[in-house]
Amino acid sequence: MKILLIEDDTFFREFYATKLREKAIEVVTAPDGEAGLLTIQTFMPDLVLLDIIMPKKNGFEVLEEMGQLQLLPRLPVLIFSTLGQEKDVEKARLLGARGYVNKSFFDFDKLYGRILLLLNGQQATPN
Amino acid sequence: MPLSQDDQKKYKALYLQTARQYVKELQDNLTLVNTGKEAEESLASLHRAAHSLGSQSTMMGYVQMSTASSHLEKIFLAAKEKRKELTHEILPLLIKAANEMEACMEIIDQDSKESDLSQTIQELQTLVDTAA
Repeated sequence: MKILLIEDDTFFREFYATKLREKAIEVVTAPDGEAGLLTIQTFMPDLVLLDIIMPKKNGFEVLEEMGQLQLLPRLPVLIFSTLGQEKDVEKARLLGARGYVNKSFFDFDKLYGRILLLLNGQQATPN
Repeated sequence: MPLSQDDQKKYKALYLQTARQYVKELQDNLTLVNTGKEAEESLASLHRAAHSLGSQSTMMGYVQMSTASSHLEKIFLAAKEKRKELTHEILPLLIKAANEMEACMEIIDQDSKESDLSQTIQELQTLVDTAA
């Protein structure tokens, strides 16, 4: 399983990459939307975990570009959000994101469950 | 779900390292806004820094840092969206908040507990209420 984590915050990036790798998941990280879009082409992940508020290109711009490149039908995107971002999550869903996880409340089993659901082609349910 | 005690210990140094960068970003950009420079770019940086600081403080279980950051995030978003102006009456309070958060991190570094930010949180809450 290959996951691309696009997240500008070093703390979250390192924490979640470590936790996912501990479960033998192949993880590549990108520190902003621009780098994330480039990495999608080279790494070809099975799933993208995408932050919204980022420098260079934010999560919405990444989703828009993924849509233009026809990537969204085959590459599921899970939004990495926090409390108070409900409007952002809704906007991201309209742009093609399949669901979200609250990154500030770490629950690996829940996250892993969402990932498996998406990789099996089902819609992820909200928190 | 808060982090386990093991993870809190393991990731505290990384938290402090990144949180200090965000507080410095807050202080630097508030100074710029206070001098009337780089307003638009500074507001975007302030919003991003407050958002990230709040998110990772929540994850580490630092409730006061998280609440203060969340209030700052709302104020900077309102300023970004031109619903609130960061006037010279408001800016000293925001700068004071950033300085108190910097001091709070030193306390966290020393004994893992937060300093009391309740008065600052209350003052920030008033600003949030007027921006709503």
